[in-house]
Amino acid sequence: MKVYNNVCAQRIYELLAPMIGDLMARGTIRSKANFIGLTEETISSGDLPRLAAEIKKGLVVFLGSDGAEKLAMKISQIC
Amino acid sequence: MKKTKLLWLFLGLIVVVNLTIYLSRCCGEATLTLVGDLFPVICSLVSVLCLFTAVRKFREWDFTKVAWLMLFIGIVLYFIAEVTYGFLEIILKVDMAVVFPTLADYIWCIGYIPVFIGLIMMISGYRKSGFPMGNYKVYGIMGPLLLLLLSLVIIFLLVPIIKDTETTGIAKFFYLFYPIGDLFIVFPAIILVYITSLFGRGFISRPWKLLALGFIFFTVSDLLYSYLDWLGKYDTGNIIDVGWNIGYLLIGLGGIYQVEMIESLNEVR
Repeated sequence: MKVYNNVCAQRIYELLAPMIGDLMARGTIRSKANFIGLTEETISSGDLPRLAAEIKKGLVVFLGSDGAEKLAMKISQIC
Repeated sequence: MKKTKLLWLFLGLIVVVNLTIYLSRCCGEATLTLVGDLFPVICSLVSVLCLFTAVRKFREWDFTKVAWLMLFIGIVLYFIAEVTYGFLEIILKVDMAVVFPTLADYIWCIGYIPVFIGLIMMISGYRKSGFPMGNYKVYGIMGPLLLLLLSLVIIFLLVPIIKDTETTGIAKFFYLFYPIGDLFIVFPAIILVYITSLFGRGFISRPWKLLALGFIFFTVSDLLYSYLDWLGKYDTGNIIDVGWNIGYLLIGLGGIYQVEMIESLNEVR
């Protein structure tokens, strides 16, 4: 179980890990944060909509557009 | 009780009853034939209903919904084929050991096409998702193993069928179509099993895992059926029938887990 110092990252991790597994959740948070020019420990609430949009793209194939959008909305309001 | 739990219990019940009747041969040929034809109808119907529920859960007509729709259409065709087969054998008393192919075989063959399309769409969609495809060394190992499987099928099944002068052209086509079609299904199914293993205990990939396992059970039973039937050694009530029933129910479980997963998104805080 990963513990982040960053509250937003930690809450996203706690949301994603049961869904996609611990390794994938950590990898996803890291890669998507890096993609928008951040690190896991520098995510702020203002960054969440962009981060959520990137995470959503990966989940569409499993959840469909509607399901992935719901999850993205939860992520964008998570902290 | 959750629908997934119910379906697991039903799967267990079907397997136990199926194996008991087939292994004990307790109840006569007529019962064997009835069970052998009725169980796949029931199991495929359950699968159809589960996949229908899953397709309906996707509200937007997107890539994902279409992929599941393809699998649904394929399983519907399989269900129609199972009903047709049962009708021919039980009601019309057609000797299925002699008459091949039947209308059911035409329908089964058509069913392969949307199933293959659905599985390929899932893999293609996954590749675009940004999630890792896994360790390419694993694909490097998988490749030769799949080639080995292909070689075995060619050597022990396809070549003997092609060389057989006693089998008619149309029968030969179907004897060849089934194993070739099965390979087209099992290869993407095995890739899906590997991909889903990358998600560890994450529940998002569980539906795919069950779908893939279901199609693998199908394929194994199908390949054995093709070999035995061509040799004239397959009769309804053969133990390999259990593989088809398990396959259908695992595919149905994939659908129900997908439904529960989407519904759970409404509960996530």
